[in-house]
Amino acid sequence: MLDSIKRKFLSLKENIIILSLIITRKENALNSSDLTVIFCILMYGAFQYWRRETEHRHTIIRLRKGLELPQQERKPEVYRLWTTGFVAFILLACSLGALVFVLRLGIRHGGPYLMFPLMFFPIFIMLVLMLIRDIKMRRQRQ
Amino acid sequence: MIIIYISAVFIAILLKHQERKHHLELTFEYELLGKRMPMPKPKIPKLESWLNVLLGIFLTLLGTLFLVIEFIVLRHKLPVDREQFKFIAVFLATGITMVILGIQSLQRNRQFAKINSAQTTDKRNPK
Repeated sequence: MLDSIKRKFLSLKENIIILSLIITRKENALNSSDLTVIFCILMYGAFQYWRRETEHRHTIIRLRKGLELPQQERKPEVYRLWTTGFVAFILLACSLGALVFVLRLGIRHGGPYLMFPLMFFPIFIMLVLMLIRDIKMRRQRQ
Repeated sequence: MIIIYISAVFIAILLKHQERKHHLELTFEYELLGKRMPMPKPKIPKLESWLNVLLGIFLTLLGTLFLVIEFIVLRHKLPVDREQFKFIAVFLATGITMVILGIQSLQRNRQFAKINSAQTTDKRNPK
């Protein structure tokens, strides 16, 4: 029974061999854009690792000194408000554009295009709610 | 393409490992101080979690739509670009992952709010 189960799955060594074969295939050869993406991912990972490690070190030092830990509260930046508003505006414009398109074509021919406003509108509402919350928080701070 | 996935998975595993290590160290420090470790604040707030869920549903729907289109093309025995299936798989996987992560984050937010409200009522009504 166990042998039959084992036969169905490959061992780690076999998996590594298959993976290396896939990687070294001509179709999967890396080009400069692939290398750039990999470099960006690795740099992002290294930066995040360093940032978290530094934060953790400070937390441990504060804890050992008996100081209270600072409350991590969100600080809505201005650029964040603008980007949220901009994306919300684009979604609204797309939804309205699709609606106008459907109305001009008629429900029979343009019906499937109604899917876009249906999908975009909930995301738009969520973004508007986020924007209102962030503006309120920013006003409270000021 | 596969090496990009591998590097991304490697980074994710590394960061998760670091998070676990930090959590363990903090728990140990709190134990030494004789205090109870407070529940960490959820990384994603409630509204952002809902946005995650909605975007996940959107991507999953888009992936499903493309899949249906591919099957319709196949049914009519027209030539199909097999590369399209890769993108459909990425759409579906990303969408489902985002929905799952959003729901998890919502649950964490609910737990945090519950514990916070319990603590505030304890402070207001000390025995």
